[in-house]
Amino acid sequence: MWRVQSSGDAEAFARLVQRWQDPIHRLCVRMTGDAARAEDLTQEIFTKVFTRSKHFRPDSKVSTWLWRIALNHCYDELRRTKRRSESALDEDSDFPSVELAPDAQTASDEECALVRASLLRLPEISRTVLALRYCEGLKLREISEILELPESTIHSRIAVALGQITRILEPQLRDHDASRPKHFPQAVL
Amino acid sequence: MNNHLTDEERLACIEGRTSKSTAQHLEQCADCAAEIESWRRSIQRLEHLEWPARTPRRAAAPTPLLKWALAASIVLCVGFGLGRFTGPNAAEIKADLARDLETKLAGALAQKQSGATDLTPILAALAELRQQQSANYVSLRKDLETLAATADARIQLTTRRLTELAANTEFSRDPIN
Repeated sequence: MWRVQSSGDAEAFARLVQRWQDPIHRLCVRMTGDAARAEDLTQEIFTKVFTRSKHFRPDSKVSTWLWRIALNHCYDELRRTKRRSESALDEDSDFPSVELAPDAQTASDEECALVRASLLRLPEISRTVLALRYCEGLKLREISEILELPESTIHSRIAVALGQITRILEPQLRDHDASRPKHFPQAVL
Repeated sequence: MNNHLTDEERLACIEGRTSKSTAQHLEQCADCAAEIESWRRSIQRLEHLEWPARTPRRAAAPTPLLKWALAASIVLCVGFGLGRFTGPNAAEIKADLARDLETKLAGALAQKQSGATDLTPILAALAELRQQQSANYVSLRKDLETLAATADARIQLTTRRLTELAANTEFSRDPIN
């Protein structure tokens, strides 16, 4: 990182992109739920990283700095999207019902689609802590550094977020399992 | 059972930090035990959650690296263009940006010559953008000079017309003299 910072080293920047483009893209998808948009966001994030490389403090971790830029960019994008679609939102419903993606075919696909949709219905902070903790496998201390919040607060946020997603998911998965036929008729040969 | 575990206590339990009082509570409270199990299931689902894979948008794109280099360089070009004609230190900003770009190109070329990883597309793109940047600068400067010349001619024309109008007005007020 210091090579990018000190001399705008193109090769060092290329290596940074290679190392981090997939994790940053994954985070963008989890935050926005849109793989194509996440691709654009990832590109914009690395543009920001390049232009802001001189602001990077050598005493901090590159990963923390990158995650923070990525998250802030995702938050900005979510706010822009929310403003655009505000009139279409149902204000009375905190957790609108989940629609399964048309490509959800197998039971596993359907469950994944339900979990993805449930994650996207959580408040931003809940989605963030769950994505960083359980999808990216970061430690509490790392999340605390990225979000600049005490570890105890992160612990509480994760607990709240787990409660939220479980309350959304469990009933839907129960209904989903109940509606699935238990015995398939045997094929007549 | 009235006093159920808090969310934090449940999470602590899931993360293997169960206190003695929590353990005692869980032995007696089926609700809390069930809730913790459902949280565990949620965590497992999140850990094994699959998302759509990254798909390159343009098949013709030479390499992903080139895309990033182009994006970064476009920002440099835009910054150069804006900085050149806005801030009070436009000349300094221009010189800084040019130095940055030259250092970057020189560093990358040196590494290329020393047998490092093949980053030819990025370097080529940077060189191309550098040329584009110079061409843009020349074009912008020409446009500005044309604009300045046109504006100057129009100002002179307007001044002449105003002078003529003033003279005519003076004459019509005092036709005898």
